[in-house]
Parts: sequence; structure tokens; C-alpha cells
Amino acid sequence: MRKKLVAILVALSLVLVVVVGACAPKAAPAQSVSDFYAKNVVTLITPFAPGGGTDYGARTFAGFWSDATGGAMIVKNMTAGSGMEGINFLYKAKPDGLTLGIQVHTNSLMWWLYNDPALQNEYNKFQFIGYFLNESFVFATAPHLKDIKSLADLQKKEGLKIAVTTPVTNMNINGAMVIELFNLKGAKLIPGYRGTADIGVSLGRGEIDATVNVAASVRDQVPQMANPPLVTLDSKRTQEWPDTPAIPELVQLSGSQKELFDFFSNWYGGKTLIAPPGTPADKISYLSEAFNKVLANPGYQAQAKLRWRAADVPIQGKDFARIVDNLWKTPEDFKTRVKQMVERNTKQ
Amino acid sequence: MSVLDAFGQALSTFGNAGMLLAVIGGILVGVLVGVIPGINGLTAISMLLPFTFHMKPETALPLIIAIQTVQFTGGAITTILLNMPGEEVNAATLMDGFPMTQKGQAGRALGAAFASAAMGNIVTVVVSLALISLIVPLLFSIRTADMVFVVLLGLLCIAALGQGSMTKGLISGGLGLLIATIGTDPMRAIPRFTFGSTYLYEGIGLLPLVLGLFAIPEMIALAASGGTIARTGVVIKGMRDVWEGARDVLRHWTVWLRSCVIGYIVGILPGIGSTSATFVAYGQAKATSKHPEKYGTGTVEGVIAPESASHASLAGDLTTTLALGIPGSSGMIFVLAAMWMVGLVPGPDMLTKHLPLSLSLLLVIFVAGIIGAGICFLVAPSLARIAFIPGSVLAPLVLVLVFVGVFTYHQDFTDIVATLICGVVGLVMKRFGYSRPAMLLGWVLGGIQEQYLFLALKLDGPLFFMRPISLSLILIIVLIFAYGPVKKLFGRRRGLTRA
Repeated sequence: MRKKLVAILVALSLVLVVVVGACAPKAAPAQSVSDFYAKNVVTLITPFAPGGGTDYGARTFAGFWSDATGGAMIVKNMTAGSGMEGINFLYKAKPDGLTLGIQVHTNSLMWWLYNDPALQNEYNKFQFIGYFLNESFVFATAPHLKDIKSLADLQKKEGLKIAVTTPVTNMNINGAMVIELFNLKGAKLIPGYRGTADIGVSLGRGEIDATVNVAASVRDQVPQMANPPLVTLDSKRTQEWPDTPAIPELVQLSGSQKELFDFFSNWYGGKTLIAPPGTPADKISYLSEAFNKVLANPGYQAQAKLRWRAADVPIQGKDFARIVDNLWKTPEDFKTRVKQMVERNTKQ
Repeated sequence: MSVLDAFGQALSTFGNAGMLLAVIGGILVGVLVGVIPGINGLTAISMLLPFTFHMKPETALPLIIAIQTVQFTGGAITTILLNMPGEEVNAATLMDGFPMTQKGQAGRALGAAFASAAMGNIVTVVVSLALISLIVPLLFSIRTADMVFVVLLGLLCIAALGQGSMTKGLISGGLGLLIATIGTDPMRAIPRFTFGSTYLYEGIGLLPLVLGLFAIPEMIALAASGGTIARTGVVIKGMRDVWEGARDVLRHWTVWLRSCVIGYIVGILPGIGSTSATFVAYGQAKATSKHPEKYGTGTVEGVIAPESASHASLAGDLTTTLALGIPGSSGMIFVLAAMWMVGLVPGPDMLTKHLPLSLSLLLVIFVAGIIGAGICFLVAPSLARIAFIPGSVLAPLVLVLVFVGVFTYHQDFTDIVATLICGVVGLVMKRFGYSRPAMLLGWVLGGIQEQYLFLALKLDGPLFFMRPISLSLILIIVLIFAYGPVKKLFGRRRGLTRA
């Protein structure tokens, strides 16, 4: 009797195991990367507020993602800490290829340059998918200085007030560089403006004499709040302002000046599409192809052109990673010199 | 093209079905988000923004502007009925709006709010249409140094917000100024009081602060009291009460007019925001009133002043945004973004080549303001009954909406924690009689004042105020705050002379 009982129990257990095994979720069959992206939603972390330029770029990109991959992309704004929270979040996100980020390249560089204590990511360790929406900085004067038409005229004017935002921004470094490269006597950076809009009003009022800003923003300010720019802060002219000479056309740079200028030539004022460290290589490869497809889409180009009139010249992720790696080799003393340059040219 | 021709073309756009649908849709969304505590207009607009990609300019922009216009009107509802600002700009309204509800005059308060809103929108749109070419020169004639005193005028209204105790009002305002320093120093980008948290790099968020300070204490107090919001068993008079409130605006037309002027001027000036206009309007209404002691106890002028100012600011704000691409408020940033998305560039073209479109957008404020107020008028008698819902039912419902709304904005759980902390602060302030509106005003204006003051010092040196406009503003400040005491002094002397 006992033996029969044991036998029945063993049989029932075996049946139970088979039933549970049959009902258990099966391991997903290996799918291709393209299937993976066609079936899953990608979250694009945007560390800027809705309505701004970067958010516009992110939403434009996301809008054409499904044409390239068949899948969907949603934009998630994470703006705390001037965007640092979003990038910190992305750095720690699961590297499954479904969480990406769009970052203003120079923002990460500024945090790195100033060793921001809240930084919890290493920008050079992100996986770079691509760089796009490049914007050059230009130097433009206020409407009341219409008579300044050349570098020579600019150098005659002493005590220029150049508006910039808070010290830890690309604008400040570009502004300080202009003062030093062009030897503008008595010129000082006036920090503290909240953004381009405030600077524009101040320019229009005649309170400040000049600003350095991205080419598209200056375009919006001309002619009520700025004159057409005098200089493009780059190695070559920008399509936004084809008549505005670039720095090398105006000045012969000395040794240390060239070192400074070359350093900032690698700063690139556009946006990077990035994935968390550890994202599998096959997914990065697919994402890079998808990135190129989106950028080649005529609908995307038309939409992007509404904001960035110059044709985009994207850089592939792996090439951009090399640029960033080179930057990361910058010695600490050079970084210190850059910060000192900004400090001595800022009105205290 | 002449302004009249452009105006004619602008009017004809309202014959476009798409445009009308967009305006009506915007009105309905605006009323809804205004009424629901926790969900604000900016959240709604940011969700709609991607859809504007695929819309034409004459549909996308009216939709966003209609939401902007009506969200403040709808926001007055929760402000008056629940003591919870539906939008930041409605915070000043609760100082007298909610006490009116407690006295059983909710309908009258709502009627006054909606009528002020509609009339404020109408008049300032007409003014904008007439003065559109003068606004840009006006804006550029006011310098950063002058802005210091415009903001100071707002800050000094803190003194008017302390109910019963000016000392407590000033302490609250000071606390608000202190909280405004949390974040990053605008001059040197050094984190202040962030305790290593990136969340605090940009200071305390707007929604957690407003909802925490006002919504949580009110709902907890309501639940603890076991009763209803309305303290007296007054019979609801329905629409009669609401119309009484509308007539109050005509009776107190000087309060309404002065508040509209304040709101419109602040709207034109970027960087200050409509919220400060509402407090300045409230402050000046109280300071120049024959019975300032009644403010804060449920007087209808205390509702008329801020609601007029908040709605009057919209037309000025929109004009500056269109003409210069400079948004005066967070909402107008979305208008700017929508303009980019549909291929429009703000600037001189908006006042020349695209003048009909610009005028039609101003007319959207006009139309949406009237229709939005009309819808609110119709539902006001029913909404007034909220004051009689038991707290045990209302409080949990509202609190759920509040926390959902806070989370929706950034999908960041830290916002919920911040809201709870602000709720504790609000509870303590309520318990010990410290003015929460004064604290909010200090917070709103503290950061702006710091920026303008330090910029003015850098640009013009320590004698930055030696300018006609700055000196005139200083004189206005002195006159406003000296008016009451001087009037009392002369009144006493006259009394003594007669005796």
C-alpha cells in the first residue's frame, strides 16, 4: 500500500514538473538586432526643457526614428542640475540599447573642465552613436556699434562689454578666447545672463556691446538686437554666415594662441547621440546605421532646416569617440590655464 | 501692408474651420488643466508640442495660445474653492478668494475672477493691436537698472501680504528669498545649499513648491476638521451669485483698470513673469484701498486685482515673444518652440510680412478669453458646490491628483519627496499664521532680483539708479507705501482741527 502511494506521488510530481515546465516562459528565440528595434521602444533622454533648441532637435530626430527602424522612440526630458541629472541617469542606465541620450557636447566638456562635483559620469566612456546639428559660435556686436565693421575697428574700441551666461558655459570660454586672440583692450565678460533671450534684450538696449553665441541664435537677433557677426569662432566659415570670416583669416596665431585655438576647435558646438557604457557592439553598430538613415531622411532634413539653416555635417560615432578621447588627454595644467583665462577676462 | 488690412486678414482666419477647432480645443484643454489641481498648463502644452510638428501655423499656434489664455481662468477655480493655486499666477487670488468661499460667497468670487479675466484679456488685446509698433521701442528703453526697481516694487508687496501681522509676512517673504538662493549662483555658477544633490542645482521646482505649500496643508486641515470648506450654511444662490461677482468688477473698475495696466506692462517686460504682476496688483489695491484691513478676510477687490493683472499680462507677453523672440514666461517658450516647428522666425517679420498672423494670435487671446470665461461662468454655480463636499471625500481625491500631477511633469520621484517636504513647511506656516503667498512671492522674485541687481552693478556701477526711469520707479514705490500712513496722518489732523 505504502509503495503504491509513493509511486503515485512520484508520478504526480513528474507530471507537475512537466506541466510547470511546459507553462514556464520559454527563453526568447535569438532575434536579430533589427527585429529588436522594430519591436521595442527606445527612450531618448534629453537633459533640456521642452521647447528649447535641443529638445526640438531630439523631437525632430525621434519623429523620423520609426521610418529608419520600424520601432518607436519617445523623448524624456530630465532637466535637473542643468541637465546633469539626465546624463548621470543615462550613464547608469541598463546598457540594453533601449535608453539613449542626446547631449550638447560642450556641456559635458564644461563639466569635465571645471571638475563639477556633482558629475557622476565620465563622458568619454559613453558609447557615441553620432554627432549632429553642429553649430559654430560667432561674435556679434550690438546695434549701437554699427560702425564697427572689421577687426581693426573692433580693436580700436576699448572697454567692450561682452555678455555671457553663467561662468561654466562654452560662451564664457569663447568670449575669453576672443578677447585674448584679438587683443581687445579693456574688454570684459559680463556673466549672469540667464540665456540668449536676456542677452538679446540687453544688446537691444545698448547696455552691452557684444556677445558670442551660436550662429542660429544670432540670426534670430539680427537686426534689432545684434549686427551681423564679425567673426566665426571656428577654423572655417559657417554656412549660416558665409560672409563672416573665421578666426584664422583674421589673425596670425602665436604658439600658445594656436594651442588654445586648436583645443577649442575640437569642442564642436553640436549634439551627440550617446548610449550608456557597456551597450553591446552589435546594437551600437545598428544604432549608428539608424542614425545615418534618420539624418538622410528628406523629411528630417526639412524639419531640422527650420531651425538650423546650415546643412548638417554629421560625424560618425566611432570617429567622434576618437575626438573625445584626444580631448581627455588634455593635461590638467592646460585646463587650469583655460579657467584662469576666463577668470581674468571676467568683470568681477 | 497697413495695420487695418492686416487686421482684416486676421479676422478672416477665424472663418477657417481648422483654426476654430484649434481654438475651441485649446479652450477646453485650458479649462480642464486649470481646474484639475496638480496638472498645470505647461504640462499640457509640453505634451501637445510634438503634435504641432504636423500642424499648420494657423492651427498650432492658436491651440497653444488658447490653452495659455484659459488655463489661468480655469486655475482660479481651484484657487478660490480649494485654496490651491491652479497655476502659479493664481496664488495671489487665494488670499481673498478662499476666504470668500469660506463665507459662502464662492459664486461671487468666481464671477469676479472670470469677469476680470475676460475684460482684462479684451482690453489689453485692443491696446496691443493699437500699440504694436510701439512695444519694441518701449521695451528697449527700460534698462536692467530699471528692472531692479520694477522687481523691488513686487518684493515690497510682501509687506502687504501678511494677514494681520506684517512681521510674520516679512519673515515669510524672507524665507521665500532664502529658498530662492537654493541652486546655482547665477554669477559664478557655484552650487548653493544643494547638499550635493543635482536635483537642487536648479532650486526647488515650481510645482512641488506651490502644491506642497498650498494643497497639502489645506487638504490635511480639511480632513482633520471633518467638515466642509464652506463654514457657513449659506444657501447657494446659483447664477445670481456669480453675476453679482461680475458686477463687482464694474463697481470696482478703478482697481480693475490699475491692475490691468500693471499686468500689461509686466507682461511686456521679459524676465519678470505674470506671477509678480498679480502680487503687485494686489499690493497696490490694498495700499490704495479705503479699507485695507479687509484685504485677506474675503473682499472681492482682492480677487479682482490679481485676476485682472494675470490675464492682462498675456497680450503683452505674446507681443514681445512675437516681435523679439523673447518669451516673458514659461508658457511663451512653448509658443516660441511651436513657431520654430512651423517654420516661423520671431522678429521684425512677425510685425511686417506675417502681421496678419500676429494679429490673429492676439485675437485668439481675445476670443479664447471670452469663450473660456463664458464656459467657466456656466459651470461656476455647480463648481461652487465643491465647497460643500465633505472633507473626507474631497481631501484624498485632491491629494491623489496633486501627486499624480507633480510626478507627470518630470517623471521624477524626487519631485514627490520635494512636494511632501514643502507640504510640511506649509503646514507649519499655516499652523502659526505665516503667509504662504508672501513666501511664494519671495521665491518667485528673489532669483530675478539677484540677477538684475548684480547685472546692474556690473553694467552701470553703484549709481545705477541715477536714471529717470529708475528714479520715477523709486518715487512710485515711495508714494504707494506712503499713501496709507500719510492719509491716516491727515485724517487725524483733520479730526483734531474739527474738534
